[in-house]
Amino acid sequence: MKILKSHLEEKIGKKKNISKLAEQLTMLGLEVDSVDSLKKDYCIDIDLTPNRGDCFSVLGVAREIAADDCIKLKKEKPLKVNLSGKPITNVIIKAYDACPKYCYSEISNLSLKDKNDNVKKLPEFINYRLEIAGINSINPIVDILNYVMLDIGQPMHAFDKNKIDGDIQVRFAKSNEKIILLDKQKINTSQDCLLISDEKKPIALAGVMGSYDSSVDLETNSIILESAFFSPRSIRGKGRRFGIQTDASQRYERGVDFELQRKALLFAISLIHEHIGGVYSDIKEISSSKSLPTRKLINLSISTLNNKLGTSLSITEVKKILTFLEISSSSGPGDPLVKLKPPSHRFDLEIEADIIEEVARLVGYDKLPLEKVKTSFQEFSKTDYQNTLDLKKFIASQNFQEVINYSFVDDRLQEKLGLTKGMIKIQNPINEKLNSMRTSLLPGLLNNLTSNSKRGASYLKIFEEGKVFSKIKKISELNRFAGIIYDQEKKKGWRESGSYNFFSQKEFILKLLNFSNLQKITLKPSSSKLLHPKVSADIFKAGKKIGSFGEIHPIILKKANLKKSFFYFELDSLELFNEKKVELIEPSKYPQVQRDLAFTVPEHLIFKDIESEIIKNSGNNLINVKLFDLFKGGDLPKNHKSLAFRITWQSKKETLDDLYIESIVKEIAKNLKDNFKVELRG
Amino acid sequence: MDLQPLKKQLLQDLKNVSSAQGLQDLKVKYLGKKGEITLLSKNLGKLSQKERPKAGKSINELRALFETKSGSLLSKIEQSEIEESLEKDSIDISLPANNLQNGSLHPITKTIDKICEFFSSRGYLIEDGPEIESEYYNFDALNIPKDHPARDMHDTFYVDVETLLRTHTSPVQIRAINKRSVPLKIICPGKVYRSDADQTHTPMFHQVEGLLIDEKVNFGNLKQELTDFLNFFFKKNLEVRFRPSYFPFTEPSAEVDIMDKKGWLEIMGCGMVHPNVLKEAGVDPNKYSGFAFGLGIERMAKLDYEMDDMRLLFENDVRFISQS
Repeated sequence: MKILKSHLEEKIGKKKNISKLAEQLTMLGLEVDSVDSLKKDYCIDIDLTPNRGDCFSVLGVAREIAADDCIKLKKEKPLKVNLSGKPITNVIIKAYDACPKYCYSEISNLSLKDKNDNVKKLPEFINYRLEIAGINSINPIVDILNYVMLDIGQPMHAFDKNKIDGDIQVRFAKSNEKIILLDKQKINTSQDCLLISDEKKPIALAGVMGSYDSSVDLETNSIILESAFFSPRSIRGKGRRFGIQTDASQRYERGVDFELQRKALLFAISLIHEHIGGVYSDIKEISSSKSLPTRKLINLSISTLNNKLGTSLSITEVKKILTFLEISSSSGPGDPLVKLKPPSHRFDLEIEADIIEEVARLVGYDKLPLEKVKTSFQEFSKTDYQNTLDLKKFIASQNFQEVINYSFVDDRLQEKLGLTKGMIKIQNPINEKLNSMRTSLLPGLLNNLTSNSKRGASYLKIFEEGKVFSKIKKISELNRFAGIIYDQEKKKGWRESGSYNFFSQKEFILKLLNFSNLQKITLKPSSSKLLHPKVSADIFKAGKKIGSFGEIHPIILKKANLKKSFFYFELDSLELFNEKKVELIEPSKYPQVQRDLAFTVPEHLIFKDIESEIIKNSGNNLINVKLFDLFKGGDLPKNHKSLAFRITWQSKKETLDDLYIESIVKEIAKNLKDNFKVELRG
Repeated sequence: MDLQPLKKQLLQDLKNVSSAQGLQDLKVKYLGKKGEITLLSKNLGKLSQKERPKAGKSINELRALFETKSGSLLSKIEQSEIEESLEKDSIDISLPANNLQNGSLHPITKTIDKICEFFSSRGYLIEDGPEIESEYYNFDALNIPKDHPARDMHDTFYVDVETLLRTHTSPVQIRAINKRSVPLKIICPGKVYRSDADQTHTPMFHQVEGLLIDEKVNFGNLKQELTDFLNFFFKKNLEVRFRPSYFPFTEPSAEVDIMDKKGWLEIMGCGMVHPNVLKEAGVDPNKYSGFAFGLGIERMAKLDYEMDDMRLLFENDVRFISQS
């Protein structure tokens, strides 16, 4: 809300230093966004919080300053206009809960133009104040009503009486009732919309905007002036539903002083009388006192107040502050509780905590003492956060750069990649490229790869940790780690050679799993549709799949418009957080024995099976089996490969003798031959 | 017995020797089984009783002389031999170790961690919560009824009528109280979503929520805790200001500003937990009180890294984010 410093000073009745004023407002909770220096004045832009509807006028802001300065605002001058006769139009309220009070009067013999057919001008200060507030000038009547609203906070409306058929009703809309608003927008109302209507048609969406057909124009000569109190609940959300937010609706939603209507009407009439002319009817007020908001008594305990604020204020000090806020108080002598009643303009004071905030505001938040926290002991427990961070640090240490992508991606990309299972769409996306929740981290990482390689990156190791979302019966959120390794570096460093391959990735993944205390895992050829079926693996932990890694499927490359392949991994985060009980075992004092054995193996047999067979036949003293050579061709038979193992034994009780080792080697060779037709090479 | 000629010869030999092997040869020549000094010792028996002690002493002195001299000579020779071999190992240590990319964490992760580090050290547990939330946890339970103007402050993404992408991390307050029990100290870093995009807004961003509930918690505790935190985060004694504000789930509510080069800068929102929120979570507001706070990570990162355009944080240009 933008107001002029001079306007505010006029209300307070004294001059203020601009920077002190801005500071004072901000420290009262009326945050000054900016102060613009004008020729002879300052424009103060206040960022109002939604609870302070009472400050949505110059009067409201002045009230706050006055309370803080411990002064009383001066009373308004009494009106000098003749009002006579009842209004001709009747108003019938059919929804008192939504509209507990409706004040109106009629003005006839009006002319918005002077003898020379020029539109009558309002005084410069009114025009200037409206302009500064960002309120467009429409015509003298509407401008005056807007000025009253800016000045004291009551939204008002004028209907052209000649455009109204018969009596006026305040009622809820019938289903699908249509109305063309002032801005020519045609809306279809629903039964929870409060309308002002005449006998034939709706003439306003109550508290939001009038209809085009009933509006005041330059030819208007008689009007009905409305100054009503609509309950905040009845107005909230209505404008928003139709994409309209007006100065009136913003004020009604937050709450307008329900004792202000008659005063505002008188103020408007006096301005119209002074600057436009006309003949005035009496003011008619229709209201239901039982539907008007009530101000319940609030019990305040001074000791609670002091405990919550860490202060030691006396009851007298507190009462003084509250009096300047127009909160009336009563308490008997020695009564620990003060009974308080907030004024009609405050809609945000309902419970003791609200009052405590008022006292804190007026004492000044900066004056409240600081105090060290003394809280109960809370047992420490490591949560997923720390586990995730540890893993992130580990992955970064393996030369991966962490990225963070939006959780929403283009649904067309997910469709292309076959990632639509359980895909959740956003009903009101910010744009079409961010319209569905990701079901995998791949789409985001693919975008990163594309954009970074466009910028010339030929080598990229990136990873992300975050949630993927899906809805199959119910919504699920799963934390994942995923990453891309893209290596198209033609000229490697002076000592590096060879590009990244499946086994480079396997080494990384195993290191990662080891870091996660996951040693007992199984790898199987991957069933993931994202990965190359021959160069990829799924990771199983106790029979449960926890992730996959390998080369990306050529089809994915094609769909993503990428020419060069890369490696990808995606793992379930929660499966990676494992506690390990460690027992430190003293190493054996006896020497190790090693044998190198090479075998001629038919091409179709896999390493793991041969290794398992060796382990199975290596006795209790086996330490490890290590593959140290693999080759094909040479003098090997066709469709065969050579696997060379270094096998290490060590006993805890004795030095192992050659005879023992020889017998084991024989056993290994025999079993490999019998079961796999694998020959020990000379 | 005159040992002078032998001593002279021995000293001369030691002077001439220049390798470890040469020294070894000399050792054999003088102290070996048939070495000259060894032979002298063996022949001592042939001397008279009277001559024997003196001769023995002279021989021992000569032996000691050889051992001392050859010992120090040996270490000199070894030293120079090692130096020679070091020269052969010489490499150009200025050659690069690795031409490829180094890894690092995203600036957002680092900023979150810096915040969590402080609160962890003060005993807060680090919590987590769902990013797709119900209207109940995101709004209703936090004292923000339907159609309340406070909902206008949140441009909410919906996935269906009553399910949304959380607009703040505050729903975790209720979830944490429900999951654990009071007294309680938690913080929750995480992603939040609002339909807003410009230089200072991205439709997804990060917040850290903090909540402390105990008996006798007051506003002064809140001021102290957050002042300490800000001083820790920015590594200096900042001028910190608390001013009244409005959040439906705290009462009193405050906005925290810090003094920056250009003036006061809004940094976070906070307040005493609203009694309605405590009640909704099943906590007796007459027995317990607490404070809550929420801060935007991107804003903190922006200040910490002195960067301007928030959107860059999510473009994931490796050249940009790898700097942190």
